[in-house]
Amino acid sequence: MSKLSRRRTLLGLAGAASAARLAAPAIAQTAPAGRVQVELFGLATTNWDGVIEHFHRDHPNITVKSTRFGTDEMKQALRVGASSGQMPNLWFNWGGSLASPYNRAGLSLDLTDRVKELKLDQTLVPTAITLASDGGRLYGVPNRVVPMSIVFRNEMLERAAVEPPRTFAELESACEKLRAKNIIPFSLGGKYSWMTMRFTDFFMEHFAGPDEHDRILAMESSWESEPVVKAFTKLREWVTKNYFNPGFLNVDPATNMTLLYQGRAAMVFEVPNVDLTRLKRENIDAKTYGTVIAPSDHPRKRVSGFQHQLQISARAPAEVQNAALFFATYVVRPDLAVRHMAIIGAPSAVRGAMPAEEFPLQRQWATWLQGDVSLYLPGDQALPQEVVAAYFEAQDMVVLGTLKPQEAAAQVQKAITAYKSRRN
Amino acid sequence: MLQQVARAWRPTATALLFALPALAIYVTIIVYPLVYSGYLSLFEWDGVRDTRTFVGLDNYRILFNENRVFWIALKNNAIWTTVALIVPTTLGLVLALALDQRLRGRAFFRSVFYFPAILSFALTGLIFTWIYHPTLGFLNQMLEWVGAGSLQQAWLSEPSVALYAVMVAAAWHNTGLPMLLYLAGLQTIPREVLEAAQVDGASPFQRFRMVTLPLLRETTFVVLAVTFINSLKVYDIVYVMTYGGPANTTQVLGTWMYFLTYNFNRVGLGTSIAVILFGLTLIFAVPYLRRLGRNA
Repeated sequence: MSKLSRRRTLLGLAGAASAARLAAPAIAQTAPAGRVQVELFGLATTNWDGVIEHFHRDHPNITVKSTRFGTDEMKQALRVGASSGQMPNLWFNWGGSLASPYNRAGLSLDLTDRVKELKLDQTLVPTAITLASDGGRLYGVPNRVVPMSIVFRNEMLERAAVEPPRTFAELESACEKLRAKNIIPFSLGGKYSWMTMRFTDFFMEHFAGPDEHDRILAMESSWESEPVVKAFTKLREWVTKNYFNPGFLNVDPATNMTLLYQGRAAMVFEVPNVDLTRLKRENIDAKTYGTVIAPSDHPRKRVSGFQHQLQISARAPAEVQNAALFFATYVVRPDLAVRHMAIIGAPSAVRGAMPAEEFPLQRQWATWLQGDVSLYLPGDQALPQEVVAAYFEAQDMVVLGTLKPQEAAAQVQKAITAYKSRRN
Repeated sequence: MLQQVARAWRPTATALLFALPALAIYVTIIVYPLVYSGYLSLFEWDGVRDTRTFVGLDNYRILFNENRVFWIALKNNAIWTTVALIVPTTLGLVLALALDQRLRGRAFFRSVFYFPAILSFALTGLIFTWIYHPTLGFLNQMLEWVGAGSLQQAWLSEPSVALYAVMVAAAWHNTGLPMLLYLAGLQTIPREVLEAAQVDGASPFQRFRMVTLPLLRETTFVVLAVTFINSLKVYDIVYVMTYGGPANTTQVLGTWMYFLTYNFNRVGLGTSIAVILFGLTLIFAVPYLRRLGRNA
């Protein structure tokens, strides 16, 4: 065994041991007896096969058959499954309005009354349960929490003599200095609108504060309010000050890291997984990149983020439901969480599960999320999808300068009113 | 008497029997979804719940009176169709005329010009998305290199040019088929007719206008009908290149139907667009099919 792999193994074992110790309560469900087959719909970017392989070894009587989908295909597959009465037994889902149609339609199994029995409340980080909850009820087992924040390339900040920003003012000042050095402050892929939305959401968090931001996202407070207008105004201001790459509106978000890799941009507002994806693959020094909590200037530290959960079909036969639930809880078993995190991605939703030291960004975020940093749902998961459509359109029109911030806020509010009136 | 009737019907019954498997497939994958889409367009439904609310023609009212993007999509489809009926078809005809001559490497050039047509629209979209990339793309870098930096654009992010930028990609892809059809049409024109016109003193342009073009009428009809129908169905290249953006300015009926149905949970509205699209398609499909039937 090489020194490195021995070190990794030791770290892994140490991590697993610490996770098991910190999250002492084990998942309480017992393995179902008899042969059962579970059909799983998962994201192509998540290596479910790796976990399934372990699971089959440990529980040979249960067969998990996975089908993988791209992001949009996943949404489409679930919708087609629901409309044709052919939902899988177990499926990946995000939270908020992407999961709620299945929850409200009674298609996903309500686990609320089993949280204590399954010890999910003791095993999982609170923010994972909060983000997965729908109307105070839990319809899935979260396995990952995915924060979205500022990731930067150290060299670019150094070139502009900028420190990693800790306040909103420092962030804007950093952008200004980077611009003066002809460095693009933020690389942004605006196609699909959700990456631009991370900025709008962040500005809203900054101007509204966590509580009011939550009320805005819950459509309890009007969007025609000062924080929303200020957020749109700030977005437009950043566009006109060239804090983003030119022509970003239709750049694919999948390519937004390229400008960072090429040393032309300094920062991205991203899922901080560059250490998982690029650094390891290309043997790049982990210190090349850094991350900070997007500075909203509020004592309650929050960044945009979501969770990954596995939902169980409420209409599957009881033995299949049990097996599906058993697999979903197997993924987050505290003694296996570190191993599974290495397969399906970090940070884990399991308390105490820490990524290995060779992944500093992951480790940093796991530490923050296990501590006092929490997540707020991004707008496209917090709002009903038809309101999201209005939000995205208004936001992009603000970027283009074809809609004033006040008009943009009014446009979203109009969509909310229409949505609410149709629901009543 | 009964035997006579039975004898008369036997060939028809036999033919129907042979057609039955194909008919069953046709009904299952074409007719049923078509009728079901029409049915769904009369409901408000999120595509997930068991219950649907019957709203009659209200989805159509919403589309025509309240849904601004529907009109943008309809307008874009009209622009798309107009451009598609002119640009790739004309280019296809010009290329076919050129490659119908006795040229060295004629087969090679025919393959080269037909090649884009064998690529999927999704792949074509990806290629051109990279060509158009505002900072890393070939086009802007080339413009810079030739000293025309002032012409650089955010090709897919600027609403005034985005749709046309996608059309260029589509034209690159779509020229091959008309070229092939026109080449086939040109093969059917008797050489003697063209030679007779030449003997009568007709110039090359006159021969083209007075002889070739009229004799290509059938081919032109097929090319235009296919182009029209494909233009209305346009979806994948727009989805890949602009995703209907920025700010829905490049939506076409196909993409907007998809977004309403799958992204925004408005299945009734989405299927209403499908019904409208079907109606529009019939404008060209019916005469096209009738002519095909007559020729057969």
